[in-house]
Amino acid sequence: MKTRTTNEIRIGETLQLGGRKVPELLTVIFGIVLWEIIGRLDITFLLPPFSSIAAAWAEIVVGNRFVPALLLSAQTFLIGEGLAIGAGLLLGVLMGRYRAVEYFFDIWINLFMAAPISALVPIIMAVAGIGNATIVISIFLFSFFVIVVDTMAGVKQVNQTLIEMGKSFSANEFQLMTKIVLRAAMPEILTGIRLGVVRGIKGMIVGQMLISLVGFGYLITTYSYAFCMAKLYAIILTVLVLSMLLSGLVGLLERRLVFWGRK
Amino acid sequence: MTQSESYGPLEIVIENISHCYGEGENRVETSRNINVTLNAGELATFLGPSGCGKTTLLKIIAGLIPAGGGQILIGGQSIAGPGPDRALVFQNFALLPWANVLTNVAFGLELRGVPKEERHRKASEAITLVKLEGFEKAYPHELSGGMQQRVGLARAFAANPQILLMDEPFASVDELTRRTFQEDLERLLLVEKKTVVFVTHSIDEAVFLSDRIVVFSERPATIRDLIDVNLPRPRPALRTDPEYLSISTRLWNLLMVREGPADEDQNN
Repeated sequence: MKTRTTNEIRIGETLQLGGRKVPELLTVIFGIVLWEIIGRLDITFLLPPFSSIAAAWAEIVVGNRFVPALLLSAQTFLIGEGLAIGAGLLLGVLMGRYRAVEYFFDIWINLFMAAPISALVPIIMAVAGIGNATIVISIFLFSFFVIVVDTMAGVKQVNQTLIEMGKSFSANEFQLMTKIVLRAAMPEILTGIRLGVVRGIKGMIVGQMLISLVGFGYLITTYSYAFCMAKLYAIILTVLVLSMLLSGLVGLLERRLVFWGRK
Repeated sequence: MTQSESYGPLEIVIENISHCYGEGENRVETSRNINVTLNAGELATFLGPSGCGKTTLLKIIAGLIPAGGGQILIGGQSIAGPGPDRALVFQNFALLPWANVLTNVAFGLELRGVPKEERHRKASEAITLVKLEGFEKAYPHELSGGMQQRVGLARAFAANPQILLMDEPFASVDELTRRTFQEDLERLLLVEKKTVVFVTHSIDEAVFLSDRIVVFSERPATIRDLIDVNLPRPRPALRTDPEYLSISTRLWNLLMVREGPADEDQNN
């Protein structure tokens, strides 16, 4: 068996069974089987077996509420997340490049990173009303700050020699930013976007639940008040899977764009 | 390759240059009243102990760092910043890791707004010049250190400057590669006439490459001596020549005045 000596910080081999690496998917299946068993033991109605959740999911998907909820959620998410990525990149780049901008915004960004945004959503509602605007703002606030912080970190650690090289060929500030800085900061920027997307989905659900009672948030609220546990889990799992798919997509982009093995 | 024939190499006059960084108690003087003229078409090395300020002086000539006092005249004109008359070759190569060899070599021209077709043509010529044909589509992380520096050199040549500024370009490659590189550079400069300023702390490298060696003191850098090397070119086999050895010995004595053997940091 090959011993790995390259990474001394990690201890031991990956999970193995009979000399073979256990596929990651198997650990998921293990969890589902465990869930099914505990569910069938009928300990509490709060945890129905996984099979009944799957059945509930199939029922929901063909029902007349799921597709509109999905479309509405997708629409608000695209707007809110798009704004968060655009504004987050802009502020992050400016903060990373200009000391004065960082000096001005740093404390605010840190404040909002730590702030319980969920608690702010009702206040947003008071201003923006019971509608999609509030959800868009909620998505934005959940996602924006982590993108700013990661982008700033990426820009700050761009290899100074590359900037010097650009300057030696008389590059102007715009060229330095677009042709060197943004590209060199891409690993951190994409990490920020990946985290931002996941947080944005949380923000969307919180917004939908707390205020507007639309989309997935509405379904979650409805099923949980009615104690339809199987359907509730089905919706939560749907959101989870969508969230993981989106972040996986960004991860894929990351691997495509950052192929030169910078760690 | 004929592109450089329309330009002659240029003279560099370093006039009373001083430089320091930091303020108050942290103020560090890196160079003091440096005066020297580097002739057009000559290869001059800046030789001195590590951290003596020779790289700073090179970057002042490149226009990347403003001088604290004095001025740099290139072809009789005082410089105010970087310009197309100069190109820099970096110690750690400064290649774009996300771009292939062709794009990297063409990057200087890209920044100057040269259209894609033209810059790729010039980049291909430069790639041939440094013997990297066939590696146009390779990425920097797929190349050895020596090959990466060839890319850096090709990028400078593609921009077709009259002056080549080289900041310890062979410091991060192994000894054998360095020798081949020195010989290749010499051959290249016989064809492509340029004024070259070459920063190094390797005595061997300085004697082998230079027409003239500017020997610096420790920081703040002042010029300790100017040594002309009048050995015939090309010089591939000269490293045992008596003249070569006598200049080497003289440099050793100069540089060992205040510190231990200088070869300890040759591989830094």
